[in-house]
Amino acid sequence: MNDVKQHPDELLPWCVNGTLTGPERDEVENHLQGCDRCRQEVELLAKLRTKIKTVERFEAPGKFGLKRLLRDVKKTKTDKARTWTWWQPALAAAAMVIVLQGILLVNMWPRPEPFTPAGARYDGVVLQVTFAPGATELGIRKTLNEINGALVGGPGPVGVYRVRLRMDPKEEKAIAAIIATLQARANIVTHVVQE
Amino acid sequence: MQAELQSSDKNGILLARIADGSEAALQEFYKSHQARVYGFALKRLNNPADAADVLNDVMLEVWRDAGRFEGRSSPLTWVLGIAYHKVSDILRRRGHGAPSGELDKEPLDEKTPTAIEVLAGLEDAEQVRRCLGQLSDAHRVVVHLAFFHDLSYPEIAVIVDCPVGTVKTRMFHAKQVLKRCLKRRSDGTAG
Repeated sequence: MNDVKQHPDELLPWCVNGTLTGPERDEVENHLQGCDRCRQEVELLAKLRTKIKTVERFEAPGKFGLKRLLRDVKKTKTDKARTWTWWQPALAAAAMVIVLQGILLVNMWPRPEPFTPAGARYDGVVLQVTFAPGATELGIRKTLNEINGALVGGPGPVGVYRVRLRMDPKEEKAIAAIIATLQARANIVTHVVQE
Repeated sequence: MQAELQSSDKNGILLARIADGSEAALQEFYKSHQARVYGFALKRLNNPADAADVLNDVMLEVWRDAGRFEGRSSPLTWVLGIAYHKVSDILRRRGHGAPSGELDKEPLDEKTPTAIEVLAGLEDAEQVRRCLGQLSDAHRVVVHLAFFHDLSYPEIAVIVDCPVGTVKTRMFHAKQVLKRCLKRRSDGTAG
């Protein structure tokens, strides 16, 4: 309420309802002392105010309105709780799915295999061996036992087996000796080569 | 004024309790504001059932949003502001348009009578009621808030969401319309 330079005429309604304060109220009251027209206006507005308070009487909803409000408040609470009980487990389930998918994706992602030279894939030395068509299981087993070898792969598309020797690849002479032994068993082995 | 401030403080505390979920505080707030909110809505809607709906909606909004009350206006101004917008929405749906743009259906060239000429017309309550009914919604709201609720013009400006100058202008035009109407009716020339 700081607009005190205006003609007080437009403030008279608020002078009548008693809401003017400070310098604004002082200004209007001073003006009224010397202005018959404004005093008559104040009289008119005061009567109008009294009349309006009379003619605009009504009966408010009271207890019924309050009962309705409290029912709706309860409903709001229930709805809120229902929403909470519905979406809380759903949110937890969704979070679980996301975590599981994440774990799966990480594990399914193709990881670069560490480079392993063919010969070093297994401990020791690997020989590629082709057995004779008439070689028996017993003959093959005896031969493998002799060289302390073990079948680790095969047969491939052309009948090649892979035989691992528990030896250090640096033992070249011993490896050559074993290969010579196998080549000597022509009834068992038809072809042998170190990988 | 001191009593109003104490009442405002008390209602501010009630709103804080409502924000904390106190139904007892809501009931107390309802009891102290229902008549004003309902009366305000009824005056504009002229339909008790619609006014009761507005009262209920306003109080539900108080229940939900009491925490948003910042104390920049009084609790009454705040709650009547909510009611004003809810009623305006209803009037808009009814096809009454925006309340701020309305003009009273009055001949503009008619001379405004003096206060003395009008005073006699104020004796008849029915004539006052009819003349208030001649006002547009925008003008009637200002008169109602000033003379029924005894609110200051800055408070009215907050409620109807417009500048204080607009509130004064609307009151000025409302007075003109009322004076002419009351004069015509007391002269027996009203149609």
